Amino acid sequence: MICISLSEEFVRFGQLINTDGDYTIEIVRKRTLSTPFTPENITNPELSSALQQVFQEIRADLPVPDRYVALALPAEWFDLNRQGVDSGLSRENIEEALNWNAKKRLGPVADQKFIQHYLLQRQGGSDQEYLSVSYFKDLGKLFLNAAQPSGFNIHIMDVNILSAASALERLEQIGSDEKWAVWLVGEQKHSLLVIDSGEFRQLVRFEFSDPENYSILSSTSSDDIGEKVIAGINGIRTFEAEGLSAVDRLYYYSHEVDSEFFNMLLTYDVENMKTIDPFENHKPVYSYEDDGNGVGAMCQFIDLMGLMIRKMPEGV
Amino acid sequence: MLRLNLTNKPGLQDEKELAKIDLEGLTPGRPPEKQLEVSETLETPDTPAVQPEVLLPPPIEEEKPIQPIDEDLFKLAEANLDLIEQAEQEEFAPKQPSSPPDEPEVKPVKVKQHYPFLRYGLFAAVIVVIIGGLWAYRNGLLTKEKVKETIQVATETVSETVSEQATDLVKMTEGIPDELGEKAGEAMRIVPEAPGQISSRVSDVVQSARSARRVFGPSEIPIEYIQHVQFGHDRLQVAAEVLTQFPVASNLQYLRVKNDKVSFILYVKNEYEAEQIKNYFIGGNRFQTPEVFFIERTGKIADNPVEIMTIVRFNTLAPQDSKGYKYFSDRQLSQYIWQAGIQSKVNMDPLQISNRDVSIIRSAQIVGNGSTANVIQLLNELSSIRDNMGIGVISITSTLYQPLARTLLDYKLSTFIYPNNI
Repeated sequence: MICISLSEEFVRFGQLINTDGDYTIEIVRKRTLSTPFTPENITNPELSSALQQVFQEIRADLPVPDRYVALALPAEWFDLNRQGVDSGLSRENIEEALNWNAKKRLGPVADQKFIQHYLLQRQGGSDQEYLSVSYFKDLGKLFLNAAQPSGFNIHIMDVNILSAASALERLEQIGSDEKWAVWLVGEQKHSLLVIDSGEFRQLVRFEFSDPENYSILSSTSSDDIGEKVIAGINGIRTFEAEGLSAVDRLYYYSHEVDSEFFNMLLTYDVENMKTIDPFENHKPVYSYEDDGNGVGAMCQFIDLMGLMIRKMPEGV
Repeated sequence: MLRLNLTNKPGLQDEKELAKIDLEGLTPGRPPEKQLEVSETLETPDTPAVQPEVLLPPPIEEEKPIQPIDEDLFKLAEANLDLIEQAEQEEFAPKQPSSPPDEPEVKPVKVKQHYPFLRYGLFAAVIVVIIGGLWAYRNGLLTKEKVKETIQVATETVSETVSEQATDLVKMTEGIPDELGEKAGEAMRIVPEAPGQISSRVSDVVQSARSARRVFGPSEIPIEYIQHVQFGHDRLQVAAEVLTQFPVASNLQYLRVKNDKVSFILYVKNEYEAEQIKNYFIGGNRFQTPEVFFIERTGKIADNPVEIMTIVRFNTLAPQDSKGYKYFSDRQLSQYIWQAGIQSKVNMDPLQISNRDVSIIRSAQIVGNGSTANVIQLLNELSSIRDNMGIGVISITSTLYQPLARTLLDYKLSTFIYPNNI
């Protein structure tokens, strides 16, 4: 399986092979995109050709020829929203209600979007919660066109911060009763995912608007847990607080390993806030170390590891 | 944990399918065991395998991404994170109190104690003059000429008296042996301390030219706590020393001292200045080899385009003697800290203490701002007080709009107040 994680400027990829029950990460690498991978560029032909080129480069790098691809993409490409549905409805009625809600929410662009609904584990209350995810069909076309020249088939597509959470949950053995969060540290904008009792709770996009304040850009629900975590992070950033209390643990990672802010974060010794090297116990045969091989550099591959872990049973 | 697959069919997803782990795609050399249900939007049409030698460009030599950070240094920094956590745990682990040392408590003799005798002499002389004046007035001797004559005589007499007393006192001071000093110190200890005295003693400790000769009595807090206080003093000194090294025209983003690690981001005029600062850290025994020393011309600040980001450990200085560490009540401690702020001419908020229970270790915060020179002075002042407060984390930040010479540094000292359960 070829696992590919995209950020605005880079494409990180790796290959997982199973040989008679042995799981091997054959290669982990990173390549630069010539055109930024941003939603504004979705119809830009230069982005399409940049992706085509990088996919071909990936194929040339593979130690074992492969076509099966799993992708992780930045959260800003997707619209995520939590919605509750009355319990006791039939599956068809639930789907109809969710689709109706999603279309109301998306408005005129609903027809241009691909919409899915995922059941969330019940966390009390009578309603059943679902996460509705949508993305523009043009995104699918973009990757189909990019993958064809290389002969790649895209079988899995995930949101990179959710993929990172999967990796962290497994690698850090996080208990199902814990409330924890993942923070994708950006240069300007940040994403924060809160997981409660082993289930998605909230995804928030935010930015630090000035040296002392933050702004919430979007949120998957009106829940205030995400903002509490962000306020805690802001307190640490401005030296008003020494620790986080809104969640049991906070993991952070970044695709911008040169970022000054991210490197400053690495110097903070906050007890329940850390990042990890996803390959600490799964060393790739060929590893990318051009950014260094410390945890600050290797954490950029956490979401890539999340894609691999989807195919790796517990205990591997 | 939710597992999305956005290539699946639209609509409501089947959670059982999503939770399933299959081996598809993991054995690229073999045919798939089962065809996975995938979205038609992303499946490449089943075309013959593309021949890489025909369509693909030759393998491109991978470009090295821009990475100015010394990777090995980062590696070291990260590898040492466990050690940092371990050190922190050891540092704040509850400790058993130990018995006090047996030496008798002695206090230093201060020159200031002799001034009251001089004052009493002067007062006595003035009273004698006034009484004499009244007597002369009643006896009709207070004519202009006689007043002039009397004042002249009285002044000469008083001057001679005071001069003789002062000379005697100076001789006495010079001749006081250490034993007498110890007795004087003991007498001082018996007298209850008033807030006014506490304030003046803070300044005495810092400014006394005789500090090297000070003899401290037994401490009032356990030795384990004293070590934490001493580590805190060391951190204060390191912060002050490092701040002193920064050029006055540079811009400081932050300076942080925690455990045995100093980190800061500073903007300087050119690479030469940056190298000079680097040399300070690698030149002596105070610091270990920097784990990260990142110098880059970022141009973020026009006047100081070169950015320095550093993580460096310092070597803890050999502990001082453990005598003379006093237990101060919260009120006394607040007064000491406040007085140190006044001495240093910094702005300071009242000491914030997290808990009222004086029998436990409590956290507290010293927060305020001041000019760079004054903040350095505050750090030095605080490092000289033998009290029951340990400095944990030192955070100093600046707004970046002004160079160090003109900016106000915000300081925040996270501290621990130790009980006197000796």
